[in-house]
Amino acid sequence: MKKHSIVLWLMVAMLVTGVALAGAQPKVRLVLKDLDTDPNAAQFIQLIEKGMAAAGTPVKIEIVKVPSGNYAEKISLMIMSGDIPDIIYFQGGDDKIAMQNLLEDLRPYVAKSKYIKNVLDPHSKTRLESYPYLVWVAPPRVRAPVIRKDWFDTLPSAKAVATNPTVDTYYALFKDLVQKKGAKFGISITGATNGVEELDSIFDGAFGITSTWMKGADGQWVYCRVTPNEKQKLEFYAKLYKEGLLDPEYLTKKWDTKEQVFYEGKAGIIAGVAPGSIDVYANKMMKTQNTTLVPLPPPAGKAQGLGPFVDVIKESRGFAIPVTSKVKDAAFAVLDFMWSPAGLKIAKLGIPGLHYIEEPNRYVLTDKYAEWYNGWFGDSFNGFVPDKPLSRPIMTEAAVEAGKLAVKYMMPDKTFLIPEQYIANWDAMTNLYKEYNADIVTGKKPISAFDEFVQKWYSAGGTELTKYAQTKLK
Amino acid sequence: MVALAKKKEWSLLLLLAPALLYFLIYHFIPISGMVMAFQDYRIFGKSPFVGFKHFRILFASPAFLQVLRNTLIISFMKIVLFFPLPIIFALMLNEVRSSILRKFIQSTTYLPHFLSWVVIAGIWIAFLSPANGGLNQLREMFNLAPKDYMTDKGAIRWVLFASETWRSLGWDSIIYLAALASISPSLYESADLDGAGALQKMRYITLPELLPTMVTVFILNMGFFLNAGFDQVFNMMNDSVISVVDILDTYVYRIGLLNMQYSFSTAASLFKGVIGLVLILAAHQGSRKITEKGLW
Repeated sequence: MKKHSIVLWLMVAMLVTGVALAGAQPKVRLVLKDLDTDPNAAQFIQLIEKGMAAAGTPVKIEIVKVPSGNYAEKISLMIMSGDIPDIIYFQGGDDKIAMQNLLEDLRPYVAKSKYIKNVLDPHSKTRLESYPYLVWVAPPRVRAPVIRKDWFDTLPSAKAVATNPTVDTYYALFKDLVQKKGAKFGISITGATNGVEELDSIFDGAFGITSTWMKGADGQWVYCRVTPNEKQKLEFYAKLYKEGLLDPEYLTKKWDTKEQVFYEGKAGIIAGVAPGSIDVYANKMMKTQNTTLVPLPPPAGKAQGLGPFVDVIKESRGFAIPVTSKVKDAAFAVLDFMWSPAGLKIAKLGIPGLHYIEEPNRYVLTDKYAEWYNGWFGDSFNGFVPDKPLSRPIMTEAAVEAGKLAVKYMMPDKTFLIPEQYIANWDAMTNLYKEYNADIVTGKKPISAFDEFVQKWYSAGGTELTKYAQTKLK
Repeated sequence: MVALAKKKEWSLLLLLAPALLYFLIYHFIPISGMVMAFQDYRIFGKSPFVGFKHFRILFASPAFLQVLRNTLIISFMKIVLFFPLPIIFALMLNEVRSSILRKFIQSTTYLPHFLSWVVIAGIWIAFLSPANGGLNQLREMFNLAPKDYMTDKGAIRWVLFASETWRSLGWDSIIYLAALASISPSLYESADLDGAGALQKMRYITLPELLPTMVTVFILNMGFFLNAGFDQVFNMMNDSVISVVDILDTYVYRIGLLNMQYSFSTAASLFKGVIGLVLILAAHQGSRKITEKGLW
């Protein structure tokens, strides 16, 4: 009987300890794009929980499911309906939530952090200072143009672009790609989703378009898309289109069809976000054509730079902690842990035994590693110094080089958030630009129509917004 | 006898209950949320009442008239011009004697209805491609220059109409095929005895018998007149044709959902709902006067 009592008391004690421990372990609800549908998510989270427990900051992480569809839209609806996770990954729409004072100022958390403050690049620090609700550790999202290496090696005009990049050398290269390499067109872009943004990322700088709002000769701020520089640039695009050097179907091209024509050798050059997308392109090109890629520098002209302009006002994506969270410190501890050596090992190498094998002297990346997304908590590799060498580099050489170009040629933006009262006007003005742009480039309208566009743009609200810009920009 | 009838009614009502419950939960209760159209909606705290502010913004916005015009034109094409096509198709299909051929046609025409607009847009963009699309290859055979239909302001609305027809023709004909099957064969037998031809039978028997179904479908469609098809337009729109295909739904999506102006989007939805209701009632009254048939 006495023996039974002791066992019973022991069991009760264990139960109470277990409950107490579970109680001491805060539960953090995390919403992160595509994580809920990733087959390795549960193992990933378990590794994080184990690592955090070992680091003395135990947490229980719950992944919040997101309905399929546009992520930004679904997250906004989730929050508006009152379901507010403790860590929210935003990819747009956060500014409207921040306007309602729902997001925590993260600057004190970053200042007190052990790891994040050391891995933030200068552009991220500037953004956090001006918009303290999102934190994101990533290189600037800048696109770089790439050409396949076998064509680069055999075309003198490609070498000319590499050594003396100008609008003219690019034009000569586009022509050579068609005439000497049998490409159907020099360059393809995702016009269906991004208009001419991918061309702009290469040529904006050369035509003197260096930020969303620029100072005119009179010292006044002017929207870059209504300047004479923009007109010259569109004239050049129209020439490319007319001569068949720009993909004639660019207006209906999406990312998949753009990549397809590149891998098939129909397009000579495409532009992608460096280094992430360039790494994907390089791997796929190796599989389809057995050659890698060479990133090209942007053309020099009135200026030289790669786009899109790097927003220094705020992050376009990143993590936020809502003011309503009851576990704010624990939530930030998760973000900070992911940039610790232990967290970076999990984030960048993936699941042990699946994405990499740990050998006594090195980490062997498996074939499955290609399926691991190493940017869940930020695309940066800052602070990632594995304690053993890797069997092969994580990124292709082309991607690393493209990343260097992106950092070297990024163009810091000068812009401001469009205030609520101008949103409808801004929508109309943007659509006006998109349509005139498409019509001029494709030859449906002559370049002289640009002046008509500028007039309409100012009438549709541009005049008021330009006045507003003078008060917001310095 | 009365008790038996009542018992039968109860069992019928019980069968109807899940559908009623569905409409109550998902269609009637949410109507109370329309109050957001008159507020500046806030996640926490009281949402201040702002009257018709969001309606004023909607009607005064620079794109509103253009967007409304596009919506009305595209809806007219997709509701009014499209309306007789499934009827004609059902009548033609009804004349096919071989059941194997009829089933084959039915299956192939129903199939597109189950494809999403993302897939359909991909198919149509490839089909209309000026470089190697099927239609342009056909034009080439007749020595015609290739045409980029997807970026042509004059053609894109017809592309929307054609792709809608391709997707819905078969599916929308089902209701008319069912109505045709319910016409008493004795009517046709009598007409045969009277020496009526095929066209006369169609004019004096088939079409009058189909009229109640046609009227009901038409009136109900009127309620969707301002829904010109978000998914279709969103997936088939490109920069060159924004001014001719941007509709109320795509506009509200951009301003309301992407920019999180929920009160504004609720105001636009309420506007659409009210117009839809007015159109249904007007069509019902008009139909009662002309054909003596309506929704009730």
